[in-house]
Amino acid sequence: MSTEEKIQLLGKGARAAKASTYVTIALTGIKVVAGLLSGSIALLADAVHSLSDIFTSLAVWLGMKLSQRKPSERFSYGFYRVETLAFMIVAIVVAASGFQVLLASFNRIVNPSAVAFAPATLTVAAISSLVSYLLYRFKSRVGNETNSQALQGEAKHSLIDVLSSALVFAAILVHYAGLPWAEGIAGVLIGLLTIRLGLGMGKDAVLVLLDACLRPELISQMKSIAAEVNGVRGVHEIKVRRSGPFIFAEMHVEVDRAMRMDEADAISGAIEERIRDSIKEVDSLMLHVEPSKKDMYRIAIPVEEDKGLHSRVSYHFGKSPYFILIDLHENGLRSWLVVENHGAKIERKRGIEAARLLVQHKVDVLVAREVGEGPYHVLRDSSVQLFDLGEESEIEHVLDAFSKKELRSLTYAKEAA
Amino acid sequence: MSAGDAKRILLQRGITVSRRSTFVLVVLSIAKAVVGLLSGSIALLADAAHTIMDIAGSVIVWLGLRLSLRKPTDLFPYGFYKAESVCALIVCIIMVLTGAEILRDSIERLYGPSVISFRPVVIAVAIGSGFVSYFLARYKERAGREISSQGLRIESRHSFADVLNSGLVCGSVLFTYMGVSWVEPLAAVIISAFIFWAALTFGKDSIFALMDVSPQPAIRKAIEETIVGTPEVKGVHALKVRRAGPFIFVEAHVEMDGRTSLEKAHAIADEVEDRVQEKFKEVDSTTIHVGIHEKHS
Repeated sequence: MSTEEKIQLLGKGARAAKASTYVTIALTGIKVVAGLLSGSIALLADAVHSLSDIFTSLAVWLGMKLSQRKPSERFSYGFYRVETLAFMIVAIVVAASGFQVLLASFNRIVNPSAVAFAPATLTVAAISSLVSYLLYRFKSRVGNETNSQALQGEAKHSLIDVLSSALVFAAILVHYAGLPWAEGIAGVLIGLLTIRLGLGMGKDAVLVLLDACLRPELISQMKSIAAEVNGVRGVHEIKVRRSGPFIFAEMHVEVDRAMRMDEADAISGAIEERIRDSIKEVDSLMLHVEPSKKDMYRIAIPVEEDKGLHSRVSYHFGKSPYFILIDLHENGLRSWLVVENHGAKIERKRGIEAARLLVQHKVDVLVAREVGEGPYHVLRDSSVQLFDLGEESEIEHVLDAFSKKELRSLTYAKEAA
Repeated sequence: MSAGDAKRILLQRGITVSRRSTFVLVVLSIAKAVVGLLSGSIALLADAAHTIMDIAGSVIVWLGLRLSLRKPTDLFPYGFYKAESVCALIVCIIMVLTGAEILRDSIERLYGPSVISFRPVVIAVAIGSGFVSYFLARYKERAGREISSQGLRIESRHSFADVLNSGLVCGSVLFTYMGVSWVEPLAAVIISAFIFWAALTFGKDSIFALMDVSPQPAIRKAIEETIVGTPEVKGVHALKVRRAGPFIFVEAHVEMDGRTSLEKAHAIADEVEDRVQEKFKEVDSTTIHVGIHEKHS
């Protein structure tokens, strides 16, 4: 989906919420007028209740309008989350109105009062429940089309209004049936239902705001899409989170380690295209391409003596008399070899000589305390990874830290030549 | 010590601060209730009830920080840092409610200034409570700044509002003695204005954090410079920085020469991540996409 299409989609949702706001205002107006003309307090009270409907419709309208804004420096992920915040407001209002209905219905049960059946009240209640039902259908449809939680929540809010208006008719029935407490009971049930609905929506909204991964099936879908692309060796660390109606995703992709950057770039481009094609709601997609893991790593550590894995670690690089080369296999096996650093005795460019020695021995990783600029470039040009030895003195500890990926990368010391 | 440990220590410090301040507030509330019952002062009992709101705020921030400490799970792959922002937002809502209540009370008094009973014990407790709240406000603000926790900082404003409120109690007695009845409601209006202002400022910050806001432009720029300053990096685009609780998540597309070997490009990307995380301790995760330079120039 292109940015324009996304904005259009949000615009569609905003228009639906706007229409719903106008309809709700008109409905409230009818209630006020009918209430004043007929002198029905029930209708006036209902009109006051409709204010909360206007409020949530307005919140969703504004939310969807704001979420159309283009990403800025300040909000580099765009404004889609405003839609989620509007959803949260709807959830809070729904829960609060459920609580209110619950309290009022309790009062009814405790003090059952005679209900006045004014024709005006009944007519308005009938209109109100019909309109609310149509609003429910409308918002539910547009909410599904635009994948907007806020509109879907608003649709449920309207459905609750249908029930509340229907309650007035129920009151008449139970009056003739001679069960004055039944209306209160029905009210309590509606109140409880509304509270549950509001809390459920609130939970969904908070989960989205907390960056929860609510659609784990997307992870397996992305995994299989990436695996179909030629040259992909594996994927890991797929993270998916929601923002308004859209999805932000990131994924680590492993490709053949012998590749060049432009080849790897083509692969990540192909994956991105396929994912965007099949998962339309993806907005921000971050692919981190990395070389597939090797079966074996050859790690070099400068040492002061030739005592195998018990040798004392050297804090020098060029001046170090020996290097221990440890082959760390994926299956846990390891072997080692100590090589003498002949360059240690020469006067100049000792570091370069040592670096060349390591490159000759096809070392993958060097763990050292410091390295000069010359040798640094020699090693990096041969794709040797450099890690900081720090204060470590035991070879075992270094290997352990390497396996746990706890080592920090090392750059050249500026003063060293 | 790994970067993760450093963050845990920061959060742990915040948890200690909020736990201690909750404890102090509970003791304060009990003290008010006991003195209120013994002296029969309704004002003190009402104040004790108000302190329960303070305790609630303190507990919520404590819970938020504790949740933030949790390791990422399948459901929450980015961790729980944003729980702190949600909790800060809840405290802001509590503060708005408190401010509205103070405002309502003061407007009522403006219309019908009531006779306030002058009991030395009420004044003594108000002064004591004011000092305790002031100390708590300072304590939480300092810790909140150190670990850049929105929750602790809004809690600090909450305590400061309590200081003002205690001052109001003492001031009202003084002014009523002097026979000036309009000062107290006016002061209450000013205090609730302060509460609204603090709640809205921090509420805005928490909402922005939940909307993936960037940290200050200066930090963003510094991160960009750090990335571009890495050897072999030709450029950076699509830099996305977002706050999550006290931490920062970074995503960037880093441009390199297309002929570079992937192994080398990856090593450079790793170095970029290390440099950023080394320089900006609050950065929690950095994800780098390596792209070709020519394409974007």
